[in-house]
Amino acid sequence: MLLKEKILEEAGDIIRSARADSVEAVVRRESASTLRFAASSFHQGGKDTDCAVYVRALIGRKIGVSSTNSLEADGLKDCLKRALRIAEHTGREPFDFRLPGPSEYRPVESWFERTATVTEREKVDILAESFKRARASGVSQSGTLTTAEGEVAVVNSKGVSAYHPYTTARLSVVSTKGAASGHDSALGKDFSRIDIPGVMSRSVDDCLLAASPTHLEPGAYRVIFAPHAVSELLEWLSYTGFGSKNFHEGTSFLSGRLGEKVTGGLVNIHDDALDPSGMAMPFDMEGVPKRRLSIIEKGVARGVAYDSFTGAMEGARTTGHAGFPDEPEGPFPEHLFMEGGVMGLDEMMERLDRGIFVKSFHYVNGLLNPKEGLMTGMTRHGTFLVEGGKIKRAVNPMRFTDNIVKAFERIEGLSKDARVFWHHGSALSSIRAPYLLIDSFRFTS
Amino acid sequence: MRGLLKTAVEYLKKKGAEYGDVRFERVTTESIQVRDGVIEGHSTDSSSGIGIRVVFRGAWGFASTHMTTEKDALKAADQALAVAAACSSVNRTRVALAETALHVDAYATPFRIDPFSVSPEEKTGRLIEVTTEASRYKDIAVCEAFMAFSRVDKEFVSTEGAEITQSLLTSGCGYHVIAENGHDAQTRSYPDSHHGLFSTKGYELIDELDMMGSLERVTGEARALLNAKECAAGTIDVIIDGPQMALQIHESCGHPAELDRALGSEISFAGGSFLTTDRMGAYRYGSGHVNLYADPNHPGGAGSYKYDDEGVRTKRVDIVKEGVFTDYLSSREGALVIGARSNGAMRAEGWNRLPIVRMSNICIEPGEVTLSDLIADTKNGLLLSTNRSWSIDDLRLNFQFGTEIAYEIRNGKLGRIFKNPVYSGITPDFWASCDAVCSKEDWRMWGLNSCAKGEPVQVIGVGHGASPARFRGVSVGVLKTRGER
Repeated sequence: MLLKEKILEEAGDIIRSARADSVEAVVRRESASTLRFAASSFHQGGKDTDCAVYVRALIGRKIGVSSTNSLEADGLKDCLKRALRIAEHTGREPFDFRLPGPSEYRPVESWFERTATVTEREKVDILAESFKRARASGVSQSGTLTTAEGEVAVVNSKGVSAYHPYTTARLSVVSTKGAASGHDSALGKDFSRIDIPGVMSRSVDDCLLAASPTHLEPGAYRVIFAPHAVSELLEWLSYTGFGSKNFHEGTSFLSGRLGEKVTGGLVNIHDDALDPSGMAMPFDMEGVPKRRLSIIEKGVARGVAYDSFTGAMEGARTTGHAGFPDEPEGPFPEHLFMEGGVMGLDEMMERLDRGIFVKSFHYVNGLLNPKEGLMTGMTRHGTFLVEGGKIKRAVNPMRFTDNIVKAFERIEGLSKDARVFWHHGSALSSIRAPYLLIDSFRFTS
Repeated sequence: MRGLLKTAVEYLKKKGAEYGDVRFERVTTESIQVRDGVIEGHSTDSSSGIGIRVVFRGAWGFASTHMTTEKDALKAADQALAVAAACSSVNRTRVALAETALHVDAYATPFRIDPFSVSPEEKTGRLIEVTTEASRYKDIAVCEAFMAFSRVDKEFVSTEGAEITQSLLTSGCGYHVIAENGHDAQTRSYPDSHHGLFSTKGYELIDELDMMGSLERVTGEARALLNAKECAAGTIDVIIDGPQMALQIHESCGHPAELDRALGSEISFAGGSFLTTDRMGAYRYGSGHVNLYADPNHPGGAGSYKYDDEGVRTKRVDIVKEGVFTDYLSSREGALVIGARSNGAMRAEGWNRLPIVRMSNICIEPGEVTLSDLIADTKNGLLLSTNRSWSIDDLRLNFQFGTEIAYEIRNGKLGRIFKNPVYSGITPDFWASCDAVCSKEDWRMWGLNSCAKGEPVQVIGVGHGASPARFRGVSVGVLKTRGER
């Protein structure tokens, strides 16, 4: 049940009662339901209802942040008191940080009744049908089905009053048979549009295709990465490179290079929280309207994400990427898109001719040398040798270690099809990625 | 609160639950982050609520609420029962739990100074001092320092009769510097990367770690790395220092020893384990020098507690004894599968999460040799220090770790430093190559507050007691030459 009036009223009360130069309240309430299954049996299932109220108080150039999960008057009063205490006693900022003023927001369709009301029983029954079909092929299934409904509001003493209700539904499944595994997933706002039987069934097909994997010598190969694998590389590029904090610290591969060609001309990466194909939302957690941010355009570095705080710190304008006020790592793009191309997967396979088709990665790490975009990780849930444009056989998981920024210079094709995935495991963010065909990608073991 | 928890437990019994536990937690945190003398964030958080876990009709169900009235607690109980009933209709096996002793007890982390009683000025002042001083050094582009404190007050009541109160206090601090010259950026951290060192102690930890005292060495090494050569690829003997050993133990021993992974519960997310149940008691995990154990009762570990979130009294467990894999970290449900009793590894991130099998303090037994003697005994090698990157496959076999710095060892002496070192291996082969573990005087309890597992992801504190150790013939480096293709 949405609590719009109560949330805005409580947040308004905080703003009115605060004895500070300016104050901001961010409120998030969410009810989530998670079913986890392993070996086609449910082993963890839970419902979780929680809220968070963040208060940011400014006294002169001192800032205090406090949060609570109580929506009761005493809890909110205590939260405000703690924020004020910090603002009174903490150190003074050397820059002039001001809360943003009111704005108009573009509406986005983000709340779906079906997602908010689907029961555990319904979800269990749908999944159980897929378990039966998988068993017939000797395959067992493990995964997670999550639905959530929630709302977020930002109110401040400058007149911002923003409210956004949302729902989210996500299914991730791994099918296994012996050492072989296949994975598929789906993410959306409307539970009724999540094709559960399709996702479950595709993971079975991939699992069966991955049977009897054999060794392949490490080395440099032509590759096709499926969208899930690409999304993991993008997530790390974003974490190490697309935020203003890393950019100004000098550790981003974009540091000092805005306007320069940093990677291949086929690479276009942007952030757009208003694009309905992602987990759209109209404003950031400071109440700044969302708008498109170009990060890499035809291989040229164009921008990184700021919020008002890092903007003030670095002498830049916010790009509308504020996270919740207690997040320590600064702003990041939360709605990433890697623009696709014109190729179909069959055409890409033909163009690949001989190489490796990677469905997913596991445990990618982009901190090896973030300034150069060096990353490592393991392939997982389907690694295939392709010969003559056709899948020849499954191969064992392999470790890659390569410079992803340089690898993107060797992109030979991008698919027109793309898929959407969770970003940072958050219901309010997403990554959309296509298939990529890359030449000479390095596998090290 | 105890009365409300008991009411909920009685309600579960009345509804026919085979088992149930009700957990109330109040979590209070404070975190401060300062960069170059500027406060990037100073925040506190208070979160409380009730989590209710049941076995009903042979299946698990869980529900939680941040509203702590009787009405809300009973509503959550009904939700947990409904989840279990739904799952029960599909599951082919019924949940059964290993027996455990029932306890009525209270425990609190021992500490000298309550960090929540220390003034904001004192805390921010220390971080401002460290980061301002660091920025005076040439080429130091950034110094960022952290402090974080948490207090978890929890009450646990079960349908079996357990009633346990615990108050767990954790403190942590650290900093890193980034040296930058326009072409390269190199990081050094103190006392460890990943935001420093965390410990179940009070504010006294901040004095013990003496951040200011380390500044000259740490900034000096970061600057020197800018002009250092890349660590060359090859096969060489390595000594891994304490903080990197902590990470090595974490990834290649702690996680694979989690029984839920071995039984397949995490296969769709974190993965499985090469330590399969048929290998327990006989599998050669490493050389005879390798003795690894879990000890939640070790004072000051970031994973120190007396009872887990199933009410099980914790105890020390030998995971690897003289190189042989001997036991898992377990839950009551998992322990029954391997014919054992739980050793108390079930922990939840907070009141709104299901407990799952987690590491506590996973440690390596110290050996006999001092670090200086071990270096003197190494003809040609590298001393690798402080984790920078980490990656391991889903069975915890194929790993690659990067460290912030490598010190060359030539004829028993430390020499040049190298940047961007990376080493890799296959877990049992790597541990089999261990021929020495340093002694007690080089052993300390390291602590991370960032171990993530489960869906939804739960982040929890874990301790790792470690001293440096030597490994023979390790593969280092990945790029033969810069830009090589």
